[in-house]
Amino acid sequence: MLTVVTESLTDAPAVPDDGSEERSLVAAAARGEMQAFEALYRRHAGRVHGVIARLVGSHGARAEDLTQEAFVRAWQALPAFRFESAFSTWLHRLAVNTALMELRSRRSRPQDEGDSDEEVFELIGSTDSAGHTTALSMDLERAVASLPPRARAVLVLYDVEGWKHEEIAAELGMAVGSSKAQLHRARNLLRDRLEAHA
Amino acid sequence: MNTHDTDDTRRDDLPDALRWQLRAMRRDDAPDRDLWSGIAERIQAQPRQLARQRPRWIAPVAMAATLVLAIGTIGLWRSGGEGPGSPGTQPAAQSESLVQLEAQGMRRQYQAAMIEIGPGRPPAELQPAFDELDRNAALILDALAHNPDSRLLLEQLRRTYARRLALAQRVAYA
Repeated sequence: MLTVVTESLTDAPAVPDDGSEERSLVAAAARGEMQAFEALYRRHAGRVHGVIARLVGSHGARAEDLTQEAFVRAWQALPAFRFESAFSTWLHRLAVNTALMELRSRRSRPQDEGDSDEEVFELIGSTDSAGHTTALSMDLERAVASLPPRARAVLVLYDVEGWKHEEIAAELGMAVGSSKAQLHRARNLLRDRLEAHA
Repeated sequence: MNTHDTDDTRRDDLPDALRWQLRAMRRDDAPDRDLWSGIAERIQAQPRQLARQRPRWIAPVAMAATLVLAIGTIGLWRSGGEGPGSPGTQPAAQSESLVQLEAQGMRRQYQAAMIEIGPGRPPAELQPAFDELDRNAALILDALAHNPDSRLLLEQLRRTYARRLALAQRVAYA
């Protein structure tokens, strides 16, 4: 669902200093202290932007807009954060949720229903608002970014982030079987594209 | 965390080298520009809901106060005839954000437009598109209830309603 999920990812790497200092920053930000929240942003921007960029295919300005949205949502939701999981885990889930929400919204467009490869290929090498290319440095990253959106999301969540099919299915609003089928499709496409450029 | 390929996601789907390369993609990737100024601007423009900042013990007291206020308002409404809104319109709760109010207004406009277009039955091949758009609108409304200040969600709701209306118009005028 679209709600902010707070359960933990058991293998989520913690930010090195995710101890008492982080806890007091989170508490201060929850009370409304912007400086504390800025410190949290500085600590976690890379991680949040990283997972969003992987999910949306490293689309420069789009990933940045969603990163901004994720932090705004985190600010709004922080007063309800009860330290039931690490802050970094909670924020990571919120970032994934924000990216998937956008994916679902794109899926609702009639022209996106086919999840067509053509649409996604358009994204490769496109430019962001600042005119920078979003070209990825590695072939694998380029190949992952070139996958159809839903297949890419499932592959990133399963093979990169280490989620279970049940979690992916719940977040993407699909059956567990569909998540498995999308993963199979994504892996086949990925191998084909990597072999084609070998 | 998944244990990888323990079920019908076969192990031979993915070579080990590729599996590890994929896992290695899980790393930080800082945005090209500093996004903080934009974030600060937005969170200053959208103050948090006061109710969320209150400690838990206040919740029952606040709920009781809200009930009293609501009953009082209904009483005033009934005694004073029609309220400030149109007939049948509920007064907006003070805790509702501007985004939520906009979403409610948008929903009313959408419903009015749908009534105007009429209850035409879509052809079978378009039914999945209608269902998907309706499902998305419901999901976005649900998300808005949890994130009442998200302008991104509001924009998504607007786009979803616009697409749903466009599709309904296409069917109605075909």
